[in-house]
Amino acid sequence: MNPTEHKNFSRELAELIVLSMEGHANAEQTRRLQQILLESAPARQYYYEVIASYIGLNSPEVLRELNGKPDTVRNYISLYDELSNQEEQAPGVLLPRKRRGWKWRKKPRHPEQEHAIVEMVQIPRPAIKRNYFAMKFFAACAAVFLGLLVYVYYHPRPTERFVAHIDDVMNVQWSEGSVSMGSRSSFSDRGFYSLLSGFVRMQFDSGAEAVLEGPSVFRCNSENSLFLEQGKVFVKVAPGQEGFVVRTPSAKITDLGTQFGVYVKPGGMVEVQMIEGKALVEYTNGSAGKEAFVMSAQKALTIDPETHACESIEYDDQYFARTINSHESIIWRGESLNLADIAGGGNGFGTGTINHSIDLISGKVEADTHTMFARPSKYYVVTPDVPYVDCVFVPDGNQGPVQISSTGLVFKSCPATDGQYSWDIINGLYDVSPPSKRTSFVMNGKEVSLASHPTLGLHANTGITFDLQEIRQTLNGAKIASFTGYCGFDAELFRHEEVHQKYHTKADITVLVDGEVVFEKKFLDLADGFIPVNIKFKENARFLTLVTTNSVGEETSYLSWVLWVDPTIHLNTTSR
Amino acid sequence: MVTRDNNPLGHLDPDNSDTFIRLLIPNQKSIFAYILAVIPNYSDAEDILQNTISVIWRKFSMYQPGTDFQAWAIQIARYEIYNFFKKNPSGQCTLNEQLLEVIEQESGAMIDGLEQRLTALKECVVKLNSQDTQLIKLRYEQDCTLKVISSRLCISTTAVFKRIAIIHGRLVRCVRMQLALE
Repeated sequence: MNPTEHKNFSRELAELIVLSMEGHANAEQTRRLQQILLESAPARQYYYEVIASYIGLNSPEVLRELNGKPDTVRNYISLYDELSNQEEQAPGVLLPRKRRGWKWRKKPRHPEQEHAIVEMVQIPRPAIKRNYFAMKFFAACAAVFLGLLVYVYYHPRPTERFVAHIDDVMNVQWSEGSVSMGSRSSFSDRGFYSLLSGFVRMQFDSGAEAVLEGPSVFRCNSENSLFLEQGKVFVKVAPGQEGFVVRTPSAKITDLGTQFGVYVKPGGMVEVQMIEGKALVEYTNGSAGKEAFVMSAQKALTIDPETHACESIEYDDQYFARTINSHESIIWRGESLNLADIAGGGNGFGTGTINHSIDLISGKVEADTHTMFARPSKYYVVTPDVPYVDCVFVPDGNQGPVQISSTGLVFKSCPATDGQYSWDIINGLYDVSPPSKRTSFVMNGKEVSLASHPTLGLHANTGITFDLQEIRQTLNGAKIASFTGYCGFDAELFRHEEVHQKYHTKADITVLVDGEVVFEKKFLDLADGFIPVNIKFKENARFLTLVTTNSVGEETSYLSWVLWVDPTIHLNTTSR
Repeated sequence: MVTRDNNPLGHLDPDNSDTFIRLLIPNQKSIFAYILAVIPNYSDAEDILQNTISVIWRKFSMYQPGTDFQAWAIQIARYEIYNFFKKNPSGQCTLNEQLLEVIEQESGAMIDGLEQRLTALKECVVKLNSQDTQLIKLRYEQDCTLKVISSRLCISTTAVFKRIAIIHGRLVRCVRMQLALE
């Protein structure tokens, strides 16, 4: 290999390596690189050396050495000039060399000079030379043109990859020019996206899910990596897909089987909230070099890019939007679901109306509450218009097993009742002259307000079944962990009993999961106060059913004002 | 590196986190160099490194203390590389068994000399001219893609990558000189 061939070979190798490293090499170029590396030991040596160079240039220790050289406008301009010059030299094209006499052959500006030259030349050779040059010039032009054609044809174009796609959006506004694709349904690994406002739920091809909250500037580096320049992101990684990375300008968080949120504040301060599992956190600590540690669940920290200080902060479970559902207008940050709110026509997160109730006849949420209801036998109503509620029903063991779900589940051991009264299921408090004006009630001797303690009124003989699967679907696979609440009698009924000269009834309270009794309280009385109930769900539990029946042998169910205070379904985003 | 004693956060896990970090961080570049030698695509190699780290974490209880952590980790990286090829059979980078074999044989020497090269590289980057320094900063410090750099400077992507290739060439030559002088 002569020196010119060696130089060309070296240049080709260097360019192929960089093309490949930068992800711009096409299949042919990759094969060519592999062939060179396989055949040439010196090429492999150079390849290993470039790898070291790449690793170094991506490490803060080496980059720090560059910090003594500030960015200046002049530098950028000179860089621009140099690169522009380089671009002008098309690859593979040999420019004609300068020859002596070039200026001499230029067309003279002044006729006098031309005359003078003509007089000096005594042989016609220059004329022949001029033709020869013209031929070479045209040949060179043709070569340039051909070279350009070949260049354009074989020019290595960046192989853009789409590495993530949008699952849902809410109130989004993108910055002009930040999103190149028209559909905006997929994210490529090229360029930054600027989300001015709103929420985007996206899924990476690796299976990792992310929820971005505007304003955010980010780039999808690959199917398993997100670069967050600014803004908030929540990440959830499916089991077996660990390894997702969120990079920020000053830190790197590698998933080790986890859910976490990262907030890069304006100015670069990084905040990490570890919701579940563990993650490897790496950051540069100035002169101390790289620092790393494993961060565990329910911890939070900040990393200051200026001082490089890493400090522990208070963990906030609801700091990041964990999922969104544009259809239901839900932005879920990890809050629990309130069942009273659902009975009031809400989505479980406080959008329901107090004193609205689910009508036992229509199965819909209505503002007026029916005071009583004479029960037909085996009464059961599906409630398609009430989110998360499968059905409402009137239980009575005298009629045999009671249907408690749209899938045909039955409550086999349902207690017998007097079969006289029922009452709509209310988000709030009962009153003999509805709607109730009361905004508070007495709970275990203490006055509590409905606003701070949402309450579900479940008068005997009434039952309601919640569809846990629908909750999971709406909240994008959220785990339903448990149900908690306090059940007891509303003490207000004393006053009405005296007025109406009735005896207050005792009630049987039953909680079922998928038709199986998981909690039972017979003969609940005012004296019992409010009893705490805590039910843990199995992973795939489908239905939660609450039932109130008047206890057998009691005179009447007239004022069986059973209340469920803070009836809550606890959720988290765990996928394990 | 942060250890349990000086960790400012005070929430390292009791379950081998310290040991994990203590072993992983010093070896991370070597593991990455091995992956990068087999998968000459920085982004893909980073993904494989991430997967490797999470597998190392998952299987950390199987690691025998006192044995060669780097060799164990590279073994895991090797499986992850095979998984990568399995998942991306039609990718730009295809598995060349012969080349893989050669790189496997030579990667040990490359990894052994890595730290020395990185130290020399620190000396070399400061010798780059101001234009090259700016380009390196844009590409590697600010993490701008070639496309972003080219659009920012109103030149073609090709011109940028050619310049980067030249810079890497200069750095390689400089590192050789530095090592020869030592």
